[in-house]
Amino acid sequence: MANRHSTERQPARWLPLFLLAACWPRQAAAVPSFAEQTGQPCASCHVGAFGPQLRQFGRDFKLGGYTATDGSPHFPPIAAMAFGSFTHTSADQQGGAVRWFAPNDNVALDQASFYYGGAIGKHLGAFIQVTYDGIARQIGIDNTDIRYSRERHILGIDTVWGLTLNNAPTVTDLWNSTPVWGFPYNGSNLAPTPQASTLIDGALGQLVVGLGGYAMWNNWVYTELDLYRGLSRELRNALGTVPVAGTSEVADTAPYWRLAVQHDYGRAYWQVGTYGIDAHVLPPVAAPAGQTDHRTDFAADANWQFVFYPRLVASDIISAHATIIAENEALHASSALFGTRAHDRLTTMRADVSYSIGATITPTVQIFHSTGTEDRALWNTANGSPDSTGYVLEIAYVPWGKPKSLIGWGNLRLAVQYIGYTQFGGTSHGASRNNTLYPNLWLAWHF
Amino acid sequence: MKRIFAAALLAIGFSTLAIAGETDIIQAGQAFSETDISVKAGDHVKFLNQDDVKHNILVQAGDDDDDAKDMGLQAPGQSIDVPFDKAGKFLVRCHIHPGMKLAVTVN
Repeated sequence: MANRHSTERQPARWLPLFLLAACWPRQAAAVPSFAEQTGQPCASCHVGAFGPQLRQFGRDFKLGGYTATDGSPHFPPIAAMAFGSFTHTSADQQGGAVRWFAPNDNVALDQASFYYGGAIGKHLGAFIQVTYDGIARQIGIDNTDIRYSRERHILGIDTVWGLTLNNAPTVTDLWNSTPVWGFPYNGSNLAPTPQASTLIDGALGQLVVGLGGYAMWNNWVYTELDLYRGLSRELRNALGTVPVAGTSEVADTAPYWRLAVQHDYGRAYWQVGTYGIDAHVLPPVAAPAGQTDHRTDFAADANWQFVFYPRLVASDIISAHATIIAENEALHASSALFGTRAHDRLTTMRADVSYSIGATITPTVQIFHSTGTEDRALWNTANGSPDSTGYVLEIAYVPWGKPKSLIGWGNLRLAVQYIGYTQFGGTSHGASRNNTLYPNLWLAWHF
Repeated sequence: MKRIFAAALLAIGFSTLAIAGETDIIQAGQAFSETDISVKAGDHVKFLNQDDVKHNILVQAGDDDDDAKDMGLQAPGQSIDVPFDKAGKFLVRCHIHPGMKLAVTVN
């Protein structure tokens, strides 16, 4: 049974720590303060009436810097979220899933968060999340995106442009195919997950700070360029970033780029794009002078949505997302320190489709696959292969968040998620021992 | 007979005038039914919200919405009548839904 915490003693121990950050449960964007500010139900912005899966209005709202409003006076946009769960894995995890938890069948308060979510000024808005992590039992800064946005005619083209200050590559993204806001929208941190992950696949969240600019041209072409700097270990400790100790640092400046083409036909919507990052990473132990690991991620993604009854906010909606991320790794520091190969490659693919019925019941299916070069010192698998393959099945029930819902101050999401593996850590033998059943309850409300 | 004919002509004339002065725009699926229209100075544009969520009508004269005229919120099923008295180019939008835009040219 793979256990992400048991790998910290292995030679390339910086990598699992990055992966821990990557595997940290994804955050809800079902921010009721957005609903309060706009006077709209959750379903106006979100497929399935609960975040973070966006529909066109949600993308427009984010593009506009979280500033759209119904013009009425509102309480400052403060909101809260909490989710709890039960995690069952096919086989017990020896020594406990993590500290404080049993080898199996764990009940947990996964997370509790406060948000500032909404306008600060006419053109300035923010999504700032502070989270208590119920697994690590620690409070810290979470996803943050502060935006300034304007609309202008540039060269005769209707353009929405803006600036963003944020702390995770792809947290700014408008689409749910990219890592931070991709499916599954939450997940158990008490279950084993594959070790191999690309850098952009959530591994840098809250470890960096980035400043960037973006523009949507004529509602067709989206461009974004952000420059990220690594936060010092002292600052990460102060901000409560998990894990606190022994993490790697991004050296120099890491550029993140995004290009996407989209079109909204009213009922049907499509998008195709590319994104990526180029970063030099310092392992947590002293690297030979001047040596870093150079990791470059090139990714492509696509989205498709179909709204059956556009006049109804709670219409049935089909959504599909897909992405492929290819990482080239020049491991100058790790090969010297841990004996990894000098160059490795890792490719991750995933695709999901959901059918939201009346914005109330939303079943989703995802398949995922990772493959790469064999490197026993890097991936910590028995045969040196990072390959993993599997699927996620989920059904979610959201009773509120629609027009005329009884509850207007918050929302609720009940979901059952099942993750199945046909290959795990380079082998199909025993892969299903990591299969995970994850029923969870998610609450969000505003003040 | 001549009086009846004259009265009928008068009635047709008045009704034609009334229709010519008003253009109807539907708000549905979080979009306006048209993306651009032309009207005459003094004409009215009537916006009817056929969605099941609130909308808003904001009329701005240029790129910036700093001097925009806010016609208020519009509940589902409600209509808002907007007079366009001066010639020029205007952008009508919903400040809740940034993607809703209607270009109005007033001749």
